Amino acid sequence: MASHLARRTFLWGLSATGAVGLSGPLWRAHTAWGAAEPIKIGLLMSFSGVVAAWGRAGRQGLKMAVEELNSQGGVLGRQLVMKAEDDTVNGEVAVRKARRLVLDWGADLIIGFNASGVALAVCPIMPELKRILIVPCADSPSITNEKGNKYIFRSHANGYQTSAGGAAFAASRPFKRWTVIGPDYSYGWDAWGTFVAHLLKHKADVDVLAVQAWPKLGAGTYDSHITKILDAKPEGVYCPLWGGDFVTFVKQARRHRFFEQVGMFLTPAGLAMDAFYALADWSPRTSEVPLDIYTAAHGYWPEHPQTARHTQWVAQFMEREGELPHVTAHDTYAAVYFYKQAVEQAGTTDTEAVIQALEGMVLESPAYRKVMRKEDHQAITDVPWGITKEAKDLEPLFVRITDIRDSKGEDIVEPIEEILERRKTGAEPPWRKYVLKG
Amino acid sequence: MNMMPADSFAAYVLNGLVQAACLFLLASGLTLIFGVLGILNFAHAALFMLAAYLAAQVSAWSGSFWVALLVVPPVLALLGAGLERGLLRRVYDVPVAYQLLLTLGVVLLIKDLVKLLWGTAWKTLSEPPMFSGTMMVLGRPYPLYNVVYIGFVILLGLALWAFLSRTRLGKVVRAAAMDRDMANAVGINVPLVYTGVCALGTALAGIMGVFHGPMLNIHLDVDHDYVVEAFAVVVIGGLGSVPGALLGALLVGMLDAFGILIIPRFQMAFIYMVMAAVLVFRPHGLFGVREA
Repeated sequence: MASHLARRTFLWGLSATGAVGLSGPLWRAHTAWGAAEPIKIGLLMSFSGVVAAWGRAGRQGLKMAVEELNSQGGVLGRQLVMKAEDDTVNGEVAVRKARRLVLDWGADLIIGFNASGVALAVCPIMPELKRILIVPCADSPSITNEKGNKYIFRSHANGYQTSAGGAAFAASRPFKRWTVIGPDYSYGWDAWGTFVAHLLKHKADVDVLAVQAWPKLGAGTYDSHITKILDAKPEGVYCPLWGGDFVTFVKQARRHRFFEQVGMFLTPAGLAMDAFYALADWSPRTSEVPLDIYTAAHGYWPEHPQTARHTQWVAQFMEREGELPHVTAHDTYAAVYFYKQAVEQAGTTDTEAVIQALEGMVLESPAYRKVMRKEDHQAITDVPWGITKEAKDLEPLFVRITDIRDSKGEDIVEPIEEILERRKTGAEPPWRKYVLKG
Repeated sequence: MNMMPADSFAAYVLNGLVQAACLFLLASGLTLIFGVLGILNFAHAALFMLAAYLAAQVSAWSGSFWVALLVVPPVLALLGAGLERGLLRRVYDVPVAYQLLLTLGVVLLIKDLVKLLWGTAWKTLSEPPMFSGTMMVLGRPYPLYNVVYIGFVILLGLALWAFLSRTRLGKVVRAAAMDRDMANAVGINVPLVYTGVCALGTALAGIMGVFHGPMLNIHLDVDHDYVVEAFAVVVIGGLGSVPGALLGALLVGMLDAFGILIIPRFQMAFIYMVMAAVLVFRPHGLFGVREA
């Protein structure tokens, strides 16, 4: 990574040690003067573990939105306060902390979760807590489908939507033999399953290989998975690995010349901003990000779309944080604005009234228009897919995503009839049959 | 199953050896410290994590992997010596539960320290450019660094073996491990030996931090990915036995590599099954010494 950046972070850490000690009491004295009852937003994301960079991004987005709104006088004249807690990528911890945020701290809203497994653990307790949960990152369709309830909203494209977009890309190329290397839990299964289901819709003669690789989350070593996949001689590989796992996988796969031996490689979430930063190298201004692979960067890239509003937002973000925004920063920021709009429309923070306002709500987020579908509370939103190219000018990444094409939100979202039917029958999603674990 | 082509077989064997090499680096230090000090140091893997962060930092500052390899293991050795002098020394005679609590406390301390210094963003470390390419193994591209890594750990293992069995100092260490009071009585400075062994064991975690760093994404819980298997290795090989750690690492590494191929779903279960079998039939481990 960038050496001067790293040094700055290091020194910042040292100085913060002292600063925290000094500023604590002052800060508390200051907030005690607050007049109107504030609106409390609790953030539950992973600040430790293999996806910690994603939780950090969520906190950046939340903080930016909260400070921006507060500087404009708050929402309904009330200031926003936030509290961020580490879910440690653990469902039980997340359930405990969600309860504490609502019952002890008095959170009006919970925004949360990077890993789908954690989100799925918390979904069932939201009716008991009677608070809205907006999910700006975790991707498994089940969060708003099978496990959905009226308190759960997702401001982000789910794995179905992203994979449907990717499948359209994949179908445009002549490759027939497809396999997967993905994390062995709901998100990985759904991302791959929906990808195959859509690929088959575009192209009937696709050969889904029985040799598939399903390493556990945080596997650390991928060599044998890589050998196994290469031996099966696939033409195309879909890779829903993400976060630190994807970074590790890339570092190991490059050395096996994996990317040269595969005709087409797509990753829906692997190449989000965290991976670009981790894989870049200042000396000699290169990156380990493989070139000519396809990615949705989990649904957001700061150079796209190039509208005035979006460009300005990215500039503001960089001014604050000194780095390019991660998808989860953008989507958590959007989640706060969804809530803000709904509270203003409802004229209250009463949960039931805000739920009504959120249903069908249209939000112009910095990059995309998002429509919160009434029936399942899943945002309909465009998803960008593009290809990685060298970019010496783009500091400090040295690689960018180019030739981005947006898959249109309404084309890729799962039809609501299918979801309602599955909810009624309790059937397993039909695409799970493509997950073959050997 | 069809006959596997020779190049695939070679790749799996090498994959297994890489896994074995990293597990041996972690488990040998763990087992050495247990063998002599009698303390199961839960903080050992966290020290590896700290070493990986230090290695990434030093190599970012200096622009060289080799500087990190030169600097980090001695720093870890000092930390290990400090750990023994400052903390472990005080708990040799208390019940095991307190020892475990103490080393678990050290884990939390290290994690918070790393979080404070480096935050939660990923860190990565690059291998030296001369080892960064691909080599051909029976006509198949294979990571050069993996092979270098295996070779390095073999050399290190030989050096460790030679030190423990062929040098006077090694004999002193073994004597202190075997009978603390007797060693003391014949004039060995046992407290110094303890400090030295803890430093050596921790330096091995430091070497792993540097050498394993380029193969992964360095994050706060990177130790979790290895700690369970490292403990399995130590149990299989026999608590306190360095040759046992080697055998255990090879066994677990190969189970890892070929398990993914044969029945991926039960890859981890294989390792626990071996561990359970060892505990039932040879409770002191394959190379462990039965307590007198």
